[in-house]
Amino acid sequence: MIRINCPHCGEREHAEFTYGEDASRLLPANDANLETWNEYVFERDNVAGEHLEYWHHALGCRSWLKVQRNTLTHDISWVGFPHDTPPAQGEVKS
Amino acid sequence: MGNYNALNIAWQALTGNKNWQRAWRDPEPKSHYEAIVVGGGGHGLATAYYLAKIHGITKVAVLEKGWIGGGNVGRNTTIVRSNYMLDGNAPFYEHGMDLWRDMALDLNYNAMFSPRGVLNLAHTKSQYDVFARRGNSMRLNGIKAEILSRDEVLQREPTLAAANSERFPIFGGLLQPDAGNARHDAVAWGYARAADQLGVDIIQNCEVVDFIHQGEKVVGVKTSRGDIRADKIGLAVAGNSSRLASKLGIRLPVESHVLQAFVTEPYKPVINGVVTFGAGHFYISQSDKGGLVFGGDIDGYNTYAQRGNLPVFEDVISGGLSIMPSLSRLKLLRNWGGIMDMSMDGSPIIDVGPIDGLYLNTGWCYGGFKATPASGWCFAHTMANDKAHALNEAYTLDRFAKGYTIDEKGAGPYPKAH
Amino acid sequence: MSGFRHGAGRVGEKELQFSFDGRMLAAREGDTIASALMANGIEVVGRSFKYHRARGITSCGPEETGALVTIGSGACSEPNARATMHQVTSGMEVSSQNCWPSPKLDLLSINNVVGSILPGSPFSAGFYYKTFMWPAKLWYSFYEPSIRRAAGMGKVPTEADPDVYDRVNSFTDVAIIGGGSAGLAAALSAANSGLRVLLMDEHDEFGGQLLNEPRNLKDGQLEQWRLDTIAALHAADNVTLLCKTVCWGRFDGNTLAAHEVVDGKVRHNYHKIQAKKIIIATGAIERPLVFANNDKPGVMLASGARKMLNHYGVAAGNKLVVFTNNDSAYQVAFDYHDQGVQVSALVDSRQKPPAALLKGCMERGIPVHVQCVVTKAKGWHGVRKVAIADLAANGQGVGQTRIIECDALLHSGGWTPQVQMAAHGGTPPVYDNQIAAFVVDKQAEDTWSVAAAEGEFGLHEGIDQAVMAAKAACQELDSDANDIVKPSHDLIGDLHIEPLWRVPSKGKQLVDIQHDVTAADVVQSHLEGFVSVEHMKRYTTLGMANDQGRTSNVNALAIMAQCQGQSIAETGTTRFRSPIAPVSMGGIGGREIGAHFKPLRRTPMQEWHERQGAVFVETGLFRRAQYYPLAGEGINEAYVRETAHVRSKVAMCDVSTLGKIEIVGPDAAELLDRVYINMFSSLPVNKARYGLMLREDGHIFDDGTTSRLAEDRYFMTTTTAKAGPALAHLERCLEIDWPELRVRVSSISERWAAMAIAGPDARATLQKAFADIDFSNESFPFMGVVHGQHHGATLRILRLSFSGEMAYEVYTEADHGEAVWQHIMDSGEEFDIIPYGLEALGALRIEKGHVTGAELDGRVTVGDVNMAGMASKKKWFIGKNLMQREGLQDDARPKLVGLKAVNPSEAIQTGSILVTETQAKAGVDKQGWVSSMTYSPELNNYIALGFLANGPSRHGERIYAAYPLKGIHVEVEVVSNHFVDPTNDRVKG
Repeated sequence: MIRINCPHCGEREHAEFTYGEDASRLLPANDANLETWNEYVFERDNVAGEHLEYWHHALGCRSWLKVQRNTLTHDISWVGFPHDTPPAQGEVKS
Repeated sequence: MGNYNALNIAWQALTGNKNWQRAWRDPEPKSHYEAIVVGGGGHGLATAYYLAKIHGITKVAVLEKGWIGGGNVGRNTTIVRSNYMLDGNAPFYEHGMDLWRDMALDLNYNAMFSPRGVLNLAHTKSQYDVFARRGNSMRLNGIKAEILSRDEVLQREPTLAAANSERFPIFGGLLQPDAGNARHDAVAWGYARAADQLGVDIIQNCEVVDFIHQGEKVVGVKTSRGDIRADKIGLAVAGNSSRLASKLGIRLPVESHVLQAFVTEPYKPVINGVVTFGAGHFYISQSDKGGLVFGGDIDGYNTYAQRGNLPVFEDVISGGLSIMPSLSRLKLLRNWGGIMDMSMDGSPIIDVGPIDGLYLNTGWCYGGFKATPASGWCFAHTMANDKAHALNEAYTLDRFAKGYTIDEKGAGPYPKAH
Repeated sequence: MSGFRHGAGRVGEKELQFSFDGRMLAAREGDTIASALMANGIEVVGRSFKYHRARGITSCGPEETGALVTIGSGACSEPNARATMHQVTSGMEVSSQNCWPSPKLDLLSINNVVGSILPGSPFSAGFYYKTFMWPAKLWYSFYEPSIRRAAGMGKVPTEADPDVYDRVNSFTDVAIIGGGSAGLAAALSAANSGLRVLLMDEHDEFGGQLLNEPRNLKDGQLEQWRLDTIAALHAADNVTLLCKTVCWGRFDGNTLAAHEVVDGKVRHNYHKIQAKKIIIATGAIERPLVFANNDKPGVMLASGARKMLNHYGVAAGNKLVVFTNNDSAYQVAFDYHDQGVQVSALVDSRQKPPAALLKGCMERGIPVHVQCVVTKAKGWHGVRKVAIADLAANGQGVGQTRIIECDALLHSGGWTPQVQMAAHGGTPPVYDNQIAAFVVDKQAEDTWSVAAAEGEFGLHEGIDQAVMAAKAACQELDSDANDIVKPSHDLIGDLHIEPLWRVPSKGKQLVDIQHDVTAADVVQSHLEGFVSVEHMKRYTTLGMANDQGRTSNVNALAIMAQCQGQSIAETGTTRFRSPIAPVSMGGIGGREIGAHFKPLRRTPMQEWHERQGAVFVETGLFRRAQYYPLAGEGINEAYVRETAHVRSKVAMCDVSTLGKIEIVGPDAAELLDRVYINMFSSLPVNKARYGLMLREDGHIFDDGTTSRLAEDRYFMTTTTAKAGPALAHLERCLEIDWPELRVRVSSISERWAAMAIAGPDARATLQKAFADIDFSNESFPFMGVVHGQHHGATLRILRLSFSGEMAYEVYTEADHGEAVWQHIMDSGEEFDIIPYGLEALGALRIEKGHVTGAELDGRVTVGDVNMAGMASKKKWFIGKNLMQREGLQDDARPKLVGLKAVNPSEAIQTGSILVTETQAKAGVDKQGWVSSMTYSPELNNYIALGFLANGPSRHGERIYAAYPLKGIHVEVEVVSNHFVDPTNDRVKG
């Protein structure tokens, strides 16, 4: 089980959470053009490695969390709230 | 190399099975080909075969970073079907059914296609109605479909009779009688052998690390075994599509997810066809060896690791035992995972471009195995003619931007939901 | 006859009876099925998978691939049980498998005969792929069904499993996998730290290889150490001991999955263990040697025969031959000899076995054949003699064969550390020349592999490693593990192995005994170019038997490496997959099956409907009242009656399943304006409005009615199916996209009961029920909201209509739901109120032309349901951008229409496809589909809703609803989807 350290609830197994999506995408402006919206909604970097993503603690505190997780190993190096920024690469415990 | 047939087997047996030849050659890569197919999985090998066989393009290399057939073609639940509702999908998959039916004789390799039927269980009238729409569409697209009553379902699959009908009553089901299973590895090997005999170079342990450009055009690949140039380069690398495309600066409408599959010890035949549970994520069939092969939902998070986790494990088995409680004392033998290119509408992409010289084949979600022959056939056509065939013209990359998504599930732009 | 009861071993004296293929046999308490069968001299236990060769007992442990049996009968039978891993119980029924009519006389063994008379087998690797192709018809009608019929081993029960299984979640500091000497030592050492320790072992008893030793060895010192250690662990309350528990997989986050055989109130437990540190002490298993007929009953792993003798008191035979390439089998010969069983020969393939061992043989008078191999086991059902021959110095050939009589052949090809669990941590095992086997070199984080599992076979050295691991693990958890007292007697672990991967002689040399994969198959797959181990495994099916290649992998890899002229290290190994041992599906399912798989949700009025005799229908996790039949009524009569009743009088429906979300905060209106396509900021307090939400891609996500309770407070309803997703969507918007909005959302779906009261007398009924509230049209108009109280229950009443009649939705706290419902029923008695179910609700809304999930299937746009005009042009909302894409604006898209059967009594089936042709054939132009249908008592006509290309401009046209699945083809007239009260006079009246 992937163990996610929820800032509110402590470490919980991922079955309590719902996977959100890629958290590196930036919400376009309301009046952004179709191409920008298309990229935002449909295109993904789909990185193999350190991935910023959202998880929803649906069976816990119901917070949306931002998580940095390695998609090759599933190791989580950082958990924060949606508007937090993970520490720079070197500072992250690998 | 000779044909495979009973006589040949008998002769080999008489001579102690010591004169078998390689099923395909092990050539050194040449510096230039007419076409390169990156990815020695089912789709890539089938593409190479049809390029050579139908389009007369025989100077073809299939580049595989590991061993052919080591990806999803070798790690799926072997289901072959065309029970699709939407017009973008149905004719494509039904063409695939024709290719499946003729595959053994066409390739001189028996991939053991077994049309024992695919049955989707409906547990409520409203689910039955949704299936009816699909079944009626199938009929009107020339695909075999039958809608079954509860009794007809139980007659077909007596194992379902032991279910606790209280919670998940069986209302009926949608059957595609000529769908079924095939021996997955043999599909890859059969296409490899047949392509090889037509002159295709299958090059294993040859990883594509980058692309060679000439102006705006892609003209070759840099590999672990040197540079190889080609007029046309097709990507058929499920599970790694985004990684490879990113080297060309292309972001795909694809996320990588893991789908787990399971097999039990071998038992005497008990499940006749493929059965899918309608009130949970569970589908099952029984292999020619007797193992019950089953699966369920994807784990639901981006991953490139070919292994899953326990929540889905538990959910699949709980769902399975809810509908087939007599399987409870059987033992699970093996579990594995494959990496799916989950697309944004649940449908694939077989397209020219978006860069000159490049062709894309991706986004198969967890339905890639059954598509192997049709995908190869259409991708070969697309590569040879620089234009989609009518069968794959809906599978464009720009359908997302244009709003012509093909969403069988109606799940929206959430790859994990397809 | 070969095996027999010989001595006491460790099992009790108490006798019990069991049956094998209907024959009653005696066993001792503590016997496994295998030891009991062997004690009774039974050699042939079943047949192999492909060639149907006779199979006997090949081992004494989890690696058993020969003796697979069915235990029990009927619903409680367990097929494919390893006879070595199940204790015999009194009256147990055991049956052989994969043979007919009996294991000794099996008709399908013709496969074997054919395969044996030719120089090579026609059924060799890959033969299916090369034949049965012509003529194609015969493949489908004959070959494939025949192959299928012959498949499989045991038979599956036909009834539901009556037993119960549990899932157990546990957390531990140090998990130790394997309870042999090293595991016991690690547990004892770690136990002293006070940390939580969990020790598991798959056997009935802890001790591992210690159980292979005679109980009285060195005055029983070893046995005493084992018993004392177990006792000390039992006494420590921070230690959990699980025997009969196989740890079968490791998953992310140090999660271990284990399967415990309980056979009590529950049959099996599935343990999900969260471990901070993991010590792997899974030991090693013996490998077979590869020679002709090495699968014949009576050919057995030497260590297995030793455990049979010393633990179960069963001798494998009267006259034994031992065949080895390492030191370990000598002790087996010595034990048998010392306990009075004749050892006719010790055949050692090595040039120079250690002098001490040769001396041991000499002292006992056991003839030793050095640099010699067994070329073939002979005998009909069981081994009766063996052919042996000198091995050429280069290992490539053999000399003249000589025959030695025997009734059991015990062999040892070396030892394979059980690295599966270590490999699950992520690091592939590497080949170690010293022991001629794979070990895990680089341990995963938080993990230690010790003792035999890591290739260290000596007792004291293994215990030392285990204690060091325990100390290191505890230290990382800031605690101290202790040294422990080792047994005074040591067992030497040096193997001095000289690999003999395959005896260079002819005949059927099995590598994978259960799947009948021979050395020749491995060679052939190499010839055919299957040069990676994964290819070989898949082409030959090697390692896919129930032992997952435990006994066969290393031998096969070595033979492959020989073919390729490279080292075993270069050849590598296949990936290990969980479960590493077969485990019951029931165990993993636990109690979460059937009714507990997806537990039903109940509305606050559920019991009322049950008492009323309602018929229920599954809708998601709810089971809703579908209709309330009167005597003799079926569904059709009932729903038509209920529908007509709503239109003529008054009736009430339980709509508690709707999703309900409270939205509070100064920016609540702004949030709603962004998530709905229409305006909610302009909605006055105490007014309700229908709203549509889109996904970001511009398709409809959900619809519902939201009312404004105060300036900063809204009450949203969603469809039943989208209650959860809609809440998550709002939470996501607020936390991720628009954190600046000061709004809180919370689900109140469970907190509020909801009931719809509809019909011309709805107002009168409610006025009577709640006299304090003024229900007049002036003070409570259509889309109005009023609040009230009833005997302590809060009332929130919305005047909305899904049915097209004058209607109200009454919300109250769930606890009061049934009381308020009953009160309204009582008040409505004089107006002849009845309850109506989901079927009538559907009929009413179809007549009115309202859409539900049947229409909003995730692919439709606002334009498709003729509601494009609802989309506000004054504001931005989710989906506004991408709904402009050309494909979503395409005029050719099918749009919502009403359909009316031209023949009023002909039903239009939901799921029909709309066509213009009078006959539905493949290739016709599909112009739309039917999404929902009903009989309309209002129109006395079957009607339907559907989507039709250019639909709204085709009103009046006659087309067909085609249902080729049943050969139904119904002529329909295209009409507006508003069949009833299109001007809303009734709802506003």
